[in-house]
Amino acid sequence: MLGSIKSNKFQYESQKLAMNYFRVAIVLFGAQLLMGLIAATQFLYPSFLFEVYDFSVARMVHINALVVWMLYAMIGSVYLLLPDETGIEAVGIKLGKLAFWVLTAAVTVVVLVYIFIQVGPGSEATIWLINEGREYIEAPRWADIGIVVVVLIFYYNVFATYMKGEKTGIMTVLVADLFALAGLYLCGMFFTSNISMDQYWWWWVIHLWVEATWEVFVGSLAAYGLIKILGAKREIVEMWLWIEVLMLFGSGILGLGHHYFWIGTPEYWWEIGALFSALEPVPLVAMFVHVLYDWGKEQGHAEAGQAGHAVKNSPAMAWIAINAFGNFLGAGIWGFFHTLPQVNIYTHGTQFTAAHGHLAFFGAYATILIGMMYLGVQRAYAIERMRMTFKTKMAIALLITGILGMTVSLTIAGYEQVLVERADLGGGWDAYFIAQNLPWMLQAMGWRLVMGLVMFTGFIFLVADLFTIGKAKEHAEQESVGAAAA
Amino acid sequence: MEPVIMLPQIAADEFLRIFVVATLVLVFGVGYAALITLSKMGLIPKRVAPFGYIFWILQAYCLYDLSVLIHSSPFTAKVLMVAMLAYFFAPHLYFYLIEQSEKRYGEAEES
Repeated sequence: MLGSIKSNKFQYESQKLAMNYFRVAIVLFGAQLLMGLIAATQFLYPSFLFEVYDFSVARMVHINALVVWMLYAMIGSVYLLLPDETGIEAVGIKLGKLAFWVLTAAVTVVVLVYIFIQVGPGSEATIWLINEGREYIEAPRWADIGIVVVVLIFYYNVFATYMKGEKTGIMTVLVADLFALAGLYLCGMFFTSNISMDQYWWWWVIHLWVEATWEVFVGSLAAYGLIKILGAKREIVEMWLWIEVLMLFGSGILGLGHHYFWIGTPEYWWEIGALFSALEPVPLVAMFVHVLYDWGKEQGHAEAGQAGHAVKNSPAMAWIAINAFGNFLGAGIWGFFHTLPQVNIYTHGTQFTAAHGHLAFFGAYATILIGMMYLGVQRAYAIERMRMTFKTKMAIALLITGILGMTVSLTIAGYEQVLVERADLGGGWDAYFIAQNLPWMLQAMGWRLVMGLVMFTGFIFLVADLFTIGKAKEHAEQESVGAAAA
Repeated sequence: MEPVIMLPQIAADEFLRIFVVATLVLVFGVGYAALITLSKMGLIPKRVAPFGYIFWILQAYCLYDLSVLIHSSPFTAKVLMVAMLAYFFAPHLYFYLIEQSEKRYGEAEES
């Protein structure tokens, strides 16, 4: 992928820009995993890098890198599919390229400030220059405003290209979804003096991004992927996309209530949150069935020898299928079993949340974005049919083993916290530290670190594969064409 | 001071059962949808599809059990059972729409 900087065969500048976004995304993905390993080590050995690189900083960079690499990969995915869907080049491509470099420079400065300047007294100036203080979206205010400007440029590009070019169902959904995604970020940019009200708006960014707009975004990417990889019929894929949008927004928007159980909002949120959260897995089941059905149907056509039905990019298809499973497992099962208020009062803020967070982010988002990167590589080298390599399979096996292992370890740790810290000891200060030092917790955290290393090894295979799979396939295709000509 | 509204307490030794039952609700739900999907795709014989209804019954039972375990209000328990009835029809509606759209767009392509 990185090697395709000079050798790409894209027809559109927009798609070249997409690869730039993917390149930064993969670097930030690596940074995220590295920070996770440091934080996981500090759980076991609290003196590790103490006062050199504290847990609070490692955790913050771990989570921020996750959010930012996914946003980069999402913007890249949109630039990749934009000319395909609209039939034209992005209208403000020069502005888009400028925005990319501005954003990347800003992210670099923010990360350096995160790493080197985080200890000291807080003031109005630190909110503007160092850290805004909101968990997950800690970027200082200057960067916040910069992000809004860059996203406006990106949105202008998408919207104007959509208005000028062909208006497909996938693009219509994306244009509406990206408007909501960009607009919701504004809810995390102002402060109120009441912490309940502050948290109320903060969740509009966190929840409504992740459980509404990002899920719809994933549905759009899956629809595009199914058309490109399997040759699925656009009309049917788009019809299901609209139904998924209806179900995802129908359950996801008011599913927001499960974050309002304990922050001081009125108690009617218990019922609203419980009911709509319980419905949230339904669209995930529908998406799962949809991908599986289309895949199986096209495989059936291919096996029957019908032309034009072969899988055109098996690594990307594998990641999209893993996405269907992962979304259901991580967001569906791990979300559902602690989303009801009667249960959540005990599990809230324990490692259960971390288990759900890890599997849901990887299963629902990382997987499909990796699939889009493989689609980008295929286009960069103009490869007719892309097949999995040994490295692809190793990356899939290790990344999945790692994430499932981490999830199970964190679930065990969370269960110990529920029983000991919350149910038996009442959830106080002492209870927390007693639970943190029991063997179940320590062993679970040990396994989490081991599984994190497994995942990091998988990441190395993934990067190596993205680097080389395009060139290898290109050479193989050239050789087979040469042999046929001879 | 206003009386504090308390959620019903759950016994600590019921937690594992709650997590298992909550998981089974979704696993059986996927099982029900998957069996019908696989038979529609022709990957398993059509006669196997009715076994999907066993999954649906198990799912409905698990959801009921879950609502009892977490001390849901009678209204919520009823809403959950109505949701289960709706879910019974969901895969059928799904494939009805697929068949109709394939007929429609298939015919459009041929003409």
